[in-house]
Amino acid sequence: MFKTDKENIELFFRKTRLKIETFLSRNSVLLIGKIITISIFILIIIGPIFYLLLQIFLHWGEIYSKVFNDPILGNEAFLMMLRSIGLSLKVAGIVTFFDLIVGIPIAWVLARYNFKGKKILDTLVDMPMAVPTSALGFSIYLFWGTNNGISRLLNSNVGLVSQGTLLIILTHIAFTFPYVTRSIKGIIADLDINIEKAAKTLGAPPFTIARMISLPMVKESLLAGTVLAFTRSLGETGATLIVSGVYQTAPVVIVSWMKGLKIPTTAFLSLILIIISLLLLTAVRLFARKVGLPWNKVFPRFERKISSKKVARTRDSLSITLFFIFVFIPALFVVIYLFQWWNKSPFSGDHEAGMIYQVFQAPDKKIDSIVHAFVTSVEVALIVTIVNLVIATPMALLISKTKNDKLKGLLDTLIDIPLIIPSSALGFSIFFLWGSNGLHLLSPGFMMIIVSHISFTYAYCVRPLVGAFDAIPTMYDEAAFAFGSSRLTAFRTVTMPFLKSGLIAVSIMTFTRSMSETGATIIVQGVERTIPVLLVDFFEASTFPAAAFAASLLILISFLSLLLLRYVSKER
Amino acid sequence: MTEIQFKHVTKIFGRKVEAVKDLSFIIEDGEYVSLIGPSGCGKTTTLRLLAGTVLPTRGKIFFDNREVENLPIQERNLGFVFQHFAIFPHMNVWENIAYGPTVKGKKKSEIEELVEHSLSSVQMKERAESFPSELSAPELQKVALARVIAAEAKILLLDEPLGALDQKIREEFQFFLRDFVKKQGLTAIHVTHDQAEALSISDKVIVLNKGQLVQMGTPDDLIFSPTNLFTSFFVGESDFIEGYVLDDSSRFSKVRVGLESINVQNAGIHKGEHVVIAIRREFFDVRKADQNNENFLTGKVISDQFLGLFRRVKVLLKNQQIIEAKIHAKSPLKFEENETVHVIIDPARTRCFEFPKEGIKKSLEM
Ligand SMILES: Nc1ncnc2c1ncn2[C@@H]1O[C@H](COP(=O)(O)OP(=O)(O)O)[C@@H](O)[C@H]1O
Ligand SMILES: [Mg+2]
Repeated sequence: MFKTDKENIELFFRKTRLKIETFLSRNSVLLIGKIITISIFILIIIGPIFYLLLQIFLHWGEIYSKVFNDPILGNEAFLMMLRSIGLSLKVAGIVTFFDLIVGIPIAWVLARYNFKGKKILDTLVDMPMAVPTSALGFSIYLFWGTNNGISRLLNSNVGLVSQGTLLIILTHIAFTFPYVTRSIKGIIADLDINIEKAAKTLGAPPFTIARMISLPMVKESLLAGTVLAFTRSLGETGATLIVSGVYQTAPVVIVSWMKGLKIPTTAFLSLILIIISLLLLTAVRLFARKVGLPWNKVFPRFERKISSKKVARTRDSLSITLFFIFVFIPALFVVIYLFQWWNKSPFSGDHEAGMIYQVFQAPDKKIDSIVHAFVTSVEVALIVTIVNLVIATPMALLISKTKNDKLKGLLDTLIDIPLIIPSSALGFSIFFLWGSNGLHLLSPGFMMIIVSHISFTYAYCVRPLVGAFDAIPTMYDEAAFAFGSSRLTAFRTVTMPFLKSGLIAVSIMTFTRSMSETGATIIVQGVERTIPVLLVDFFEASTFPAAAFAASLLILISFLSLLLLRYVSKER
Repeated sequence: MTEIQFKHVTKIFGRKVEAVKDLSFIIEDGEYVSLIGPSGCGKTTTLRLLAGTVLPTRGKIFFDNREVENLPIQERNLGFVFQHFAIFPHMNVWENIAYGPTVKGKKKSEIEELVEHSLSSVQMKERAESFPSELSAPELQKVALARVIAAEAKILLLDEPLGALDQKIREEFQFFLRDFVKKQGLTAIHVTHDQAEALSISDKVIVLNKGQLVQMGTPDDLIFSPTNLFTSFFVGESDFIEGYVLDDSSRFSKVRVGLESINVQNAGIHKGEHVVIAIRREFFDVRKADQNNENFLTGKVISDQFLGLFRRVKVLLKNQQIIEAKIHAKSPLKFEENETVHVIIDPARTRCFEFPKEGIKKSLEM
């Protein structure tokens, strides 16, 4: 009797669920779902940018007078824009150049050679991408720019490299070169080695082979990686705020103008940055298949020389050594610094200069604001992750399944936009659309942080999920339909299980990205603080040990995320 | 009792890919029907039209005189077996088999009964807890069949179900499959590109080419009475000899081939017509030229190859056409290269078709 009851209850719930799923699978309902998916995409991802464009167009007069014709400053704002954009472009150019020099050999080493510790090196190379840039910038500044790091080894009292262009470049290389490495590593590993062997038997030296045969095969993704590295450098805020000093790059100028509430000039500068990034994106989309790298001439003697085993080994170990000296050690130096300054100054022995006093004992109770910011960061990251999974999965499904090639291509390109424009500019355009200048639905603060983070992590979610959907053989869906499943039932019972590890990986990535963002957060935060921003605040207040505490916390979190991600993707 | 009927069904993908063109046929209840044809001829599309996973662009499909479009997929009693089985990898055998009744909202106890029954019908009871990754291809195949039974399917749709099996297991499985279908009282529609498989397993065979029905009939019909060039070409190996009808007045017609003439089956051909004579290679006989032969064409041996059960004798006929005779390996006659021979033609085993205007080659294009 009891058993029948239980059975009936189970049956009732299962039938109800199936009925609901069948209802939701109707074409009309699915159409509504598609419309909602695209609406959200427009509202959060694309809308702010177009709104910014529209407003600047509509209020051109006001903008013009503020930017070019201010009664007091004249066109000083415009000149400052030009200077900062010039600096940003120069830095990004130099950084990208070095990214290629460092990134390509490392990718080659990781893809082709087997040695002890290869897996560790592989993880370490990805580290700077996962570590929040403000922590990274702070760490690098401590290493090069103060008397704690390299100067100590050299017995000097002052920093070796002061704040400014050189330090910005060193910092940017650290977190952008992995984009180059990553973009080509997998492809190099998958390349047909037989082609290279064939070329070798024809007498070509290895370097020539790599240049003429292997690298051209990877040029499209290399180009994509390079552009990503360039735009990341162009748009970075968190680290640059710390290492730039008086040399302000464009995103830093956006932040400082925003703090002074100079809305029209900020809007204009944001738009220029967005346009530069979009032009780059468009150029890559249009020319990726057409560009040929000017590598068809051969320089046999020179290449044979640098192809000799000895040179090859020197070259490979050199690039790894460079990686450790210029990227890895400076990037994590903050942890050493934290221990140096744990409870007293290593120089004066002053207890009040130590981390313990500053964070836990000083009257301003920094630990309270750290805990508060930590909670805020985690809350934001969790909400952003969950919301993004909910809104990105249907979009990924839409892109993967749509048969309309034009729509597919369009969505595919638009998705990348938040990935490529400077996050401070994106943050500003969200502030502009959602805040008092636009829809007036939100004011700067917790909710607006969430919206802005959703915006720039959206692409990180959609991209891998499209790949995951594409990889599922259609026969499983078809089998489910043939047995009488509605589309939604098939999705739940058959598609979702395939997607599980992909969804977990995407969640970790989104969570980490949200935890580490500085530029957009500063623009839209109001009175809220997240850990990366608090770190910048501590830095600006010159309480370095407290900043080091926050930075180490961030590094720890991102390191754990990275390990988790590795674990999940291995399980697959 | 389910009878399936296609009435002038056309399916166009996108704007211009005509996968299926004006297809009409009837499949009776309990029949085992094979769908054969070259790759890309629309076999899978025909199955998917039947399953309702794609809808016809034009035409209608009936199940027992009910139009399919008005029949919810749950009431069509269909079961689909895929080439790669499509056993859900994240479910174990039991859950896979229970899938159909579960999503149809059956009672738990009923589901259990169905699964038990279908597991034993394919002798897989002890593998119920296994996951697909632990099973061999034939076992997966059995799970796929059990899943169809548990879904209480009456119509079994099989898309190249034996394609993923080894040649030897494949032949065993053909018998298992037919036996299984007949015992369960199912109607089966079996897609394959292997004509031998189709001929040995089915009650009826439908030959498709370029989305169109070429011929439908029993295996016997297809082998002995092909109604067109394509069928005699695709169903078994045939050679095609060009000729002109000299006389159609008696039981056998006289056809001129080059400078010789032979008697052929007198069906649908008329005096003066340009025709093609189709003869299956195993129906040729090759004899020494010095014997007293009847109804033959003269030629020169190009080669005489031993192929296990058969010998293949290639002969260049006087009209410069090459034919290949498959003769039994035990035949005592051996031929030298360049030896002049007579290729004997049994009039009863010939088929004659009007010579295609576009040429033989073009008309056999797939
Ligand atoms: N979903 C589809 N979209 C576009 N064309 C298709 C689709 N499915 C099949 N086709 C085309 O229809 C034709 C017949 O395909 P199919 O029925 O799969 O052939 P077969 O199973 O006989 O090999 C082929 O030309 C194929 O490319
Ligand atoms: Mg097929």
